Amino acid sequence: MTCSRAAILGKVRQALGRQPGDCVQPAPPPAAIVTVDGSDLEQRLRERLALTGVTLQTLASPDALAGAVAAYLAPLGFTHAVALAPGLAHERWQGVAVDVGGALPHHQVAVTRAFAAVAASGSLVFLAGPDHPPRSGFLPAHHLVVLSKARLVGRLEQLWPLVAGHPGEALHLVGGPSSTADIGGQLLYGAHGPRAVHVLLTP
Amino acid sequence: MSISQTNPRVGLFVTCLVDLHRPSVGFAAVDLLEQAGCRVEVPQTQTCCGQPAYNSGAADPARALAKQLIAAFEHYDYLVAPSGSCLGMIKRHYPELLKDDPAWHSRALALAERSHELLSFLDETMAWQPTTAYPGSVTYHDGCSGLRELGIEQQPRRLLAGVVGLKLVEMAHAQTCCGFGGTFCLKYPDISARMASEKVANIRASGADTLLGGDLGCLLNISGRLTRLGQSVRVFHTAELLAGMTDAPAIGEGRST
Amino acid sequence: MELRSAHFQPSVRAALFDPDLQEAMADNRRFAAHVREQVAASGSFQALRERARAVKDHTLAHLDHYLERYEAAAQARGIQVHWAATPEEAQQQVLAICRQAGARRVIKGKTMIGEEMGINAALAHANIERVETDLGEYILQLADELPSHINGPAIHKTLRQVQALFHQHHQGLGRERYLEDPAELLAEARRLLRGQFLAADVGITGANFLIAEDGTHVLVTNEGNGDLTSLLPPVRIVLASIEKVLPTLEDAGTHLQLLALSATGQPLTSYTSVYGGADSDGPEQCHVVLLDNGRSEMLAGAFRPMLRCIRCAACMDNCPVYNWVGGHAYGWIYPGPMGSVWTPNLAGLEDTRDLPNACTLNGRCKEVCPLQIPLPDMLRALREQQWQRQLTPAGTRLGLRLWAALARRPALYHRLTALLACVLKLAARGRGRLRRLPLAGAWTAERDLPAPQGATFQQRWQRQQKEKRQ
Repeated sequence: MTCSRAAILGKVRQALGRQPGDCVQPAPPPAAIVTVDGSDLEQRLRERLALTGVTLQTLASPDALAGAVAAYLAPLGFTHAVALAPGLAHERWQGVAVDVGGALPHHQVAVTRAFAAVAASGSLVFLAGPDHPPRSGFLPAHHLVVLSKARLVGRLEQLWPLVAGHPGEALHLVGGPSSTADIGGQLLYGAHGPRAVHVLLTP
Repeated sequence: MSISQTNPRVGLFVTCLVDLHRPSVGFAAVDLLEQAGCRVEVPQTQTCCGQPAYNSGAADPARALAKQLIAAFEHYDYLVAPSGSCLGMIKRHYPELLKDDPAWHSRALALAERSHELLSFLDETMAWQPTTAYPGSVTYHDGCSGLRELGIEQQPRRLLAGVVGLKLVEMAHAQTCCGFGGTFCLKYPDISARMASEKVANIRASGADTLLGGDLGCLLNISGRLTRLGQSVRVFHTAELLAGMTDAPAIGEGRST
Repeated sequence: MELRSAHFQPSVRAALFDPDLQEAMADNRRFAAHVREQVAASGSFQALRERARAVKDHTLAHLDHYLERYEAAAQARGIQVHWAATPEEAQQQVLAICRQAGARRVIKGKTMIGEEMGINAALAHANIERVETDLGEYILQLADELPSHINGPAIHKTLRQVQALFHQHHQGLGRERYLEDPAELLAEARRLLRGQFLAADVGITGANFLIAEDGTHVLVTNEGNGDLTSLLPPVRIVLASIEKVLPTLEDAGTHLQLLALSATGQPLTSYTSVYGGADSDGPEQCHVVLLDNGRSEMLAGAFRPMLRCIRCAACMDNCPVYNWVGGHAYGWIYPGPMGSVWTPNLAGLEDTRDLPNACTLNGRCKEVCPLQIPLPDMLRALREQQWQRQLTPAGTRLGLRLWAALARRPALYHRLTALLACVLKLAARGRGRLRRLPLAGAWTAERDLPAPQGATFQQRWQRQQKEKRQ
């Protein structure tokens, strides 16, 4: 509908008092909020995540991942394999049944790698791509997240420079399990997305 | 013109509600201002600040009244009024109302600079301290305009802290609107009554025997609901208590109470 | 959505005496107080607010530039951008996309712009099945009702009412039990809607922000339904109004923190997602429909600040009037203080006369607004427009004109007010208050009128001054 486009932009320009032939280069927008925030990141992330019921487990090395996942699964009694993000396929997964790829409707557990995490807001950050199919973070009831300590930042403003180098696909900031307060005003978990989120923190 | 800090000339704007309904608030204001060392005059050409017209969208009538008030008061050192909402009108809205007329605009700005609500004037400009006593428990209703347009919150409380024997108990939601809102209470009386009822409930829950505030409109509204609900809390304008006038009938109180 | 703002007064009366609604709104008041505590505790509100306002004002002052940049960047990502001047055009565009995709079933996230576009009715008319995925919207779909709040569209429904709705509408699906536990109700909704996510042909969502620098858009939900709606169906349609564009992702970050903090007291909404078009794990086709519907007019005048709005709903959550009457009384999509500015601007002054007036101008909305929108000033500006267009009730006009004429004649004014004060005091007969007064039924219905002291201040002062001189 190019005539609507012209009409709308025409009205906008008129509202802004533009003269015909004005070539507008806007002044630079206001300066960013500069924050330097690097202290106690692991502790603050753990505290923030705890507020939404996200559990965090510290591992000595990526070699401990398989054991940690097996220990998480044991009490749940699931029979299916976990959906493992392709970006984690190279890690060692003895003792854990895995389907490498994006989660399918029958998967009850997905294991994916977080791109980063923001301590102040308790956000796990996922960059969508072939290594991390985003539906793995939404379809299964349990989401296990592998996160490296080196990828922790203090505030949201510190995330953007990291992301800028990856002009890829979708970006998801996840603050906890799926929740709603729409049923009688009570906060409940496990709306449409995961019911439980568990973080495996590696060096 | 330099303002005498020790003996300033104050034009008292009594406000239409005080003038019509409760002159004792005006006389309390005179008394307190004189105690603080001011010379008080009451220009006779004052009537209404124009807020009812302004808030109903009648900008031209409001403008006419604004000019009348500015002309009446601009040659005093200060304009002082016992009302947060009228003072908000003069300080915040007169310049806006008259922004298309440069001469009047600067006169409005000049007056706004020298205009003060009574309690904040006594506390901050004149550093006055109370000399009275009151053996009761008092709760305070913050009028919305005074609070949000003028930042009046701590000043009345500081003054009351200096009243011998007075116990101040804060009610829950002291800063929530009481439902007066000028013409709002007449146009939407059922909503207004609910807001007033909630205010009454909070006053009762505070356990105070006296309600104070800085705006007569709010106080008439709350008092009206209090007495209709059969509650016996005494309602005064803060100036009346500070001036030791609480032996006289409170708002809504009859002779035979 | 049909405009019903002309029914404000009767709707208010019904609302005030509706025990379910009053119970729900009491919960909302408590929730709003909790949110204010979180805002105060965050320590960053003021700094974020100042930056956000500066960014928004800058963007609005260059809206043409940023809209064109957004369009170019989005198209470079393979997103098809459509421009709709009116809701009708938007409907046609959405239906054309659905027809072309052979769509029979649409799943939808919560979108107030979708309500403005009348998209639900348009889909029904085209015999396209629609399933709401936002739980609040799903509850409304079952109840066949309109939203009463922009973020929690079904906050007016109590738990009891939701239990009854689920029982009534899920019976046909083989569910005989009467579920009471909220967690069980949620589990049932999750099961039912999961099937819908997987079977839909088209997913329609709104967008919280459009990012000019790279053509992405941001979508936030706590449930994750926005993401399932965005990722699973093969066709994605995003509905957004033109003032949602921001220059950079960094700018969006500032606004997202304010949005979450002011709406629910969270540092960020649980699922804060940035989408960039056809993704490897997402839809095959991506469309964005940009709606004007009056925003370009608002840009020109006194109502430009309203375009800063990020739909956090803090204004209505902290508005005493909204919390007594609920959202339906306002008669359209946007209730409370922001609704009282948006609705007359988008739907006209004629049939929205009560909205700018049902407000005490207490200023709490402006105080809590993360973008510092001067809502009371804009409501007053609407009242001024009503006055100029003679939409103010005749009685009010006459009364105010008389009052102002009198007030401009101080000598006459003082004489008449002295008379009035005397008459009212006599009418009170020493009781201190009047229970009834002719012409003052609005006041005296539920309040006494305290009696005046008798003589006016001016009378006594003049007397005093005369005595002093003698």
